[in-house]
Amino acid sequence: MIFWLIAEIIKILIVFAGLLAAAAYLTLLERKVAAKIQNRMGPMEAGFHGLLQPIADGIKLFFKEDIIPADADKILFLLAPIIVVIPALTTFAVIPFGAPVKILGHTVPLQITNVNIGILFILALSSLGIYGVVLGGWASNSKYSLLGGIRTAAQMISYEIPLVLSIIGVIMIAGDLSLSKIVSEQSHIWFIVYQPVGFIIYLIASTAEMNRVPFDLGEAEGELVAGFHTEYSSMEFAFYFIGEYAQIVVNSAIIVTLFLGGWQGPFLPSVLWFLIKLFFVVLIYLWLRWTYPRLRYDELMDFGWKFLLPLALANIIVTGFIMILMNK
Amino acid sequence: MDTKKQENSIIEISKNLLIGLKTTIKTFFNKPVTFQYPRERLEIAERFRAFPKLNVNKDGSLRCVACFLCQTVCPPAAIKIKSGYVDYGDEHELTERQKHNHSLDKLAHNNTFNDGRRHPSSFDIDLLRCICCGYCEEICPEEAISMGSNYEVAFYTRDEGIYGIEKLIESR
Repeated sequence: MIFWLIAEIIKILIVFAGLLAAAAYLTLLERKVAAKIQNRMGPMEAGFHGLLQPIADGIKLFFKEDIIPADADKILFLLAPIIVVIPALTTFAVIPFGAPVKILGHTVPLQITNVNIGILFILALSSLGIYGVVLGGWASNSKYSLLGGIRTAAQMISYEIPLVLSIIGVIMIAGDLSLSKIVSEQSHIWFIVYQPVGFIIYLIASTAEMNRVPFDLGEAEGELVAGFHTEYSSMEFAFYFIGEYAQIVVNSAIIVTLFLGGWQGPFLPSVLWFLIKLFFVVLIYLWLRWTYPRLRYDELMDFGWKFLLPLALANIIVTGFIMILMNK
Repeated sequence: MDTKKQENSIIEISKNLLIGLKTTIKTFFNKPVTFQYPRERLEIAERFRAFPKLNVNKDGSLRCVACFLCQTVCPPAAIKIKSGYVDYGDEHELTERQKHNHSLDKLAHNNTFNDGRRHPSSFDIDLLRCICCGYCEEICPEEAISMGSNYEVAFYTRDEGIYGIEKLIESR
């Protein structure tokens, strides 16, 4: 019992620290990838090739003046960034990041907790993040923030539906909602082979869900200054930032688990396989961001409701038909 | 076929989206065109020319004879010259020719003997006025002034932009 408790706490600490470090260094990776795509060098001053840049940024944000607008709803204003970060970090609790290891005769699964409705847990928590954005937009008492919050709310609700429907194909094939079961089902062949359309829909819908370019309508800097975080400064802004990048890591981890065989792979240790796959999925997100321009609002809504949603539904029907035909 | 319909077909759109991704992945592997400026400098072409500089003889004396041609020809009037005489010290004896040159009589008074050759006592180029046209180099009979490759000039005050003899010799 005590062994289980200690192992659990150590796992939580490792995942928590790892996620925060990954979110911090993802900012550097993003800047470097952006620079490479635009034929620049990116941050080079702090440390070797800018390796200490995230730390420098963190220290800078920490010492910035903390400005709260005069008529802002103070409690909600301070609460909103936290609501963005916590669900993003908590989602990782059900994601298996390695094969079970044997320590002192006990089998420790490399997953904080194996919930048998893992996917539902992820979906429930990831839709909580929207509250942070909407509350932050409303509490700032600024028209830009409010408009950004409203836009983001509408966008996130629209794209949540194709996001969920794209996963159903995977659940049908795996026959289970538990993530560790889904990973073990992929030991022979990755689900991306069975579900290429589902993979693409999930990729697009999760990009929209995370408010990233080309779907960053909520913080369109050309129109809304900075959208829902216009009035935020100092550590509150940093929290929004961490939440945003932690969401990228978590969403990539979900993609790896659902479509790319999780931690499974030959020769190398399972955790390393998980990290390699994670890295490449993150690169795909960055690649998308620095390729496409922002969509117009009506285009965004058209794309979500008239294209992604029917496609996701068709994907489920086709998957079901093929499963019946193959008598699986 | 209706072009508008063709543009909006899913195949056409996804083809264009893939072209975009292809373009960015290509530039991703390109070498960056930027560099770390203060530490790395731009490699300029061998024949690149910018601001004028003053040339010297092998013994380090100025080639300039203060003929005022460059000051005269300079379109924005950036060059200001004051002429003087070369000073060889007390022991120097006047040559036969100099003894007949009565214009030096006044100078001999102050114990300075000169060989009669003029040289600039001050030679200022206002780099803020200079337009790098190269007329001064073209007109100079002594090849004393020529266009150098120094293009990075920055100063805190306008007075610092006026380069004297020493700075003009040092500049590339």
